[in-house]
Amino acid sequence: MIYLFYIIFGLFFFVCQALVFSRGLVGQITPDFLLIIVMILSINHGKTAGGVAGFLAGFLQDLFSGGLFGINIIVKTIVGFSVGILKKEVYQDSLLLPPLVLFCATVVNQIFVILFSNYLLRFVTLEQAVEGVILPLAILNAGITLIIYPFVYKVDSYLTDINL
Amino acid sequence: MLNFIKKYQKLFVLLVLLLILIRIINVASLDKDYNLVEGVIVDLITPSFRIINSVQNWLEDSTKVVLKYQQVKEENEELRQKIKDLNYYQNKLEKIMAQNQKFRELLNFKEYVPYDLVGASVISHGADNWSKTVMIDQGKRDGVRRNMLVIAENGYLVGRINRVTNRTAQVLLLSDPTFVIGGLVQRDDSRDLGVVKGQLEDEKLLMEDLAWDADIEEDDIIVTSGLSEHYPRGLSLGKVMSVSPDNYGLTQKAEIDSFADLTKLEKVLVITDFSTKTDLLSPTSDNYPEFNEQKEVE
Repeated sequence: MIYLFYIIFGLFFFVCQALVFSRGLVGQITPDFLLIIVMILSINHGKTAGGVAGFLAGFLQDLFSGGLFGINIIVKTIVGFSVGILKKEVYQDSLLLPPLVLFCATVVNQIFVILFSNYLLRFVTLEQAVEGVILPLAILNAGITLIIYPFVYKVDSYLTDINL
Repeated sequence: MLNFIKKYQKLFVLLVLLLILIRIINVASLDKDYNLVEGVIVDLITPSFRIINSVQNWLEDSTKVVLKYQQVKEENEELRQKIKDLNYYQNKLEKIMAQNQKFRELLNFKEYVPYDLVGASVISHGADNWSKTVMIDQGKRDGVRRNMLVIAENGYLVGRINRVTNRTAQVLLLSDPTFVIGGLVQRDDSRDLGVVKGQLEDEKLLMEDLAWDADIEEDDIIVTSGLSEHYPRGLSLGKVMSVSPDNYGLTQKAEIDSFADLTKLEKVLVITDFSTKTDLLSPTSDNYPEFNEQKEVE
């Protein structure tokens, strides 16, 4: 039931990402809701759940993006799995820590996407990418996490308590 | 050293496999269509896009009426007046068309069909910040195929079909950096050629590889060159904003403002056949399709 909640929640936000916020929520930047869901799942349920969620979210993103097919699958799986390893080190009750994790995860995720895609660095330097996309996106993702994490955490705890 | 490798054997194998996988993706996946499974998944998800899209449009329209009542009222009045004017012009046009048809029959002219087009609605946009794509609600079953060009309702080039499923297709927009097309200066005393492509950081297009002495100026209109057999000639791309030397003066480059507003696309047309090979640039040609005429009216 918990995973079903994350799937529905993730799909809903993915549709929003590709539709409602596709023209950019702040400036031209589209938030990465899929990464937010993967990270929250990793923090609360560990590396296996994080890795699998990263794989599925990356697959979905690759289907609806125009770049290299498969690059988001690899990157989101790596980031989801890596953050899941931190599960024991992170206090899930803390409301400020997940946004911080999201900020770092977004930076790592985007830098991996650029470095793993040969063609992107032909059009933009790493410095321009960090300044123009990566940092604004990391701040945006962290801000959104600050708003939605308390809700997700409460629903997750409730579903865990009633053993669904 | 061997002990170290043995200790982290799994990690090494994983890393090597990962690097091979990334290499394969870079070699094989940039220009790739959906396979059967991917196509089915995309077709399963897209109905939800349609639902949320229509809810979003309904909300936007409703709130606009409430919040901008005065503006909507004025707009309404303006449109009523426009309808009256258009009715007058339509009557006039019908007379001219009938006359035209009569002359064509007298001179035994062939009836002209410009392009075969398929109309489509934009149902979603790209899901990342590194590519510029939109998804449309027409696919293989409607005759849409990869690499077909997509134009806006007023005839301006929007992009080309990148991936297709049975019911949907992904359009790579003109402003995406991987979109490249031959461009031509429309002005009769220039006709210089260059390569037009999108930019990652900017919505403006870039025309490169223009000869160092190419006759190109601000406000020149750039159209598709048609040198490739895959794309028709004469589709409007945009207007030149600025020209500057490139490659240490060996070539020139121009910044182009796209005619189509690529951030607000709602309806588009896919050119499914342009085998008539009409030269839209020839001023004497009577084969002008309707959308180019519209551009001149604007």
